[in-house]
Amino acid sequence: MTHDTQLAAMEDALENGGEAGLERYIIDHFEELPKDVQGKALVGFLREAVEGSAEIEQIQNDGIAAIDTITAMKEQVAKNGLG
Amino acid sequence: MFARRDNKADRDKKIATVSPVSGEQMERLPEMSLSEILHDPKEHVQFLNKYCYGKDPDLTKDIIDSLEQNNVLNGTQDAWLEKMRGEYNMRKLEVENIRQYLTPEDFKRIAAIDPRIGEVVGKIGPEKAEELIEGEFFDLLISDPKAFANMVRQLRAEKDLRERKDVKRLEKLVEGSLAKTGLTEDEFMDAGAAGSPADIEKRFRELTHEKMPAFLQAINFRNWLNKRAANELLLHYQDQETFLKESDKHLKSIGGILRGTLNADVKKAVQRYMLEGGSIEKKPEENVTTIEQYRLVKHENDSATIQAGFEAAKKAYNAAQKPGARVPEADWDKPAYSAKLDEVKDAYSEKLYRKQLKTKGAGAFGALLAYLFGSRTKDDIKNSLK
Repeated sequence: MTHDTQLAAMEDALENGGEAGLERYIIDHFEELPKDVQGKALVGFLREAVEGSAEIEQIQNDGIAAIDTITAMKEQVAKNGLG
Repeated sequence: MFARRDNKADRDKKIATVSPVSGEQMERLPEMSLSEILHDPKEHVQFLNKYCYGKDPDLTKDIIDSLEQNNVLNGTQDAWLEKMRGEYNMRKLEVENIRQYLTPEDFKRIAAIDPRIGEVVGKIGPEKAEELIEGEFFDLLISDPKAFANMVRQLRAEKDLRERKDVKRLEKLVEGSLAKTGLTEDEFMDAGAAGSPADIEKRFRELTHEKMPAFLQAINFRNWLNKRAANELLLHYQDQETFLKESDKHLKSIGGILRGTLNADVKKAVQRYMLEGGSIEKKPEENVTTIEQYRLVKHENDSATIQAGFEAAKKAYNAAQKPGARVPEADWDKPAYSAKLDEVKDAYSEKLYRKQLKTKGAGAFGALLAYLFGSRTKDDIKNSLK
């Protein structure tokens, strides 16, 4: 495939399927792409996978701890009252 | 030509073991000599055409011309090239250091978070994937050391977390906690599962760092049966009904946010939000994350738009000159004005090229932009101008 044809195919995938469509195209044709484009795609996916995942997990851990504490307290207060 | 610098003692000189970019502890590796770098086709291109050119394009161009003609470099060129060699070796070490976060086991773990990576690594194998990533990380280190350092930090943090627990298990725990609250899906959505991911993250931080601590301090659960804790609670909440209402309010808010983190699209968007510096307001203009932004970049870089921009640049040049120094519009191509034409072409193509280098795409857009621009250099842009 020529450069222009390949670029047009990628743009079609984007226009018709959005970013998910473009990603699908890149993955399906990965080995046909130039090396630098392969690298950009892979690092792009990697950055999205890794960046922020630690923050999300921290939010989840903190959130679980907070919910568990409050629900246990509610049960106790409902059973024994505040006094 | 560089034999005198291939001295073993020079090469084995201690190099810093802490990265000045990422702060990582790094293992010492033998430095490459200039001779070794220049005789290796891949290293030659990476060193001269990428690293040195990025530092000083004019000096690098002169050095490349001299080397191609087998001329001896002058003192300034020699000294500068040696300095670049030292920096280049350090940069290579920093990129090599990333390997500890990209082992085949790491790829397997990351593939569990992101199936796209699993599919690609399944096709090309982890070794090829690592090679591709190293190449890109080197470019990132040169062009954006801050983003490189951030990436290393994220890889390290992600590896630390994932080695401690499985992501699926944590999501099960989240589901379990949400179920305990007794609140409905609608109540979560109203409270906080809706909204942009940036809002979700911001709301959670505000809630847990500002509003929650005072509430939680009043009710130390571990000391629940302790009378002192119960008295403290009484001081804060005069009646049970108020206490329970306050508890439910917090449950809904936190639960809503947690619910949001289980949604794949929200998670991806939060990650992209973090990628852009943690704030929508700080998003760089050159970041391409949508179809519309891509279409705009493509339009700005098509030949008709570039040529129209060049015509405007010529007009702007004339407008800045005194009347006697202006180039008549129909005479730009005449030999008498060739130096001025070259000056305008050079400045305009430099401006476009710098913008191209700053234009980054998130995720798959990065690959699409790389394909759009290809190997276009400043000279390619300049040579296309009529």
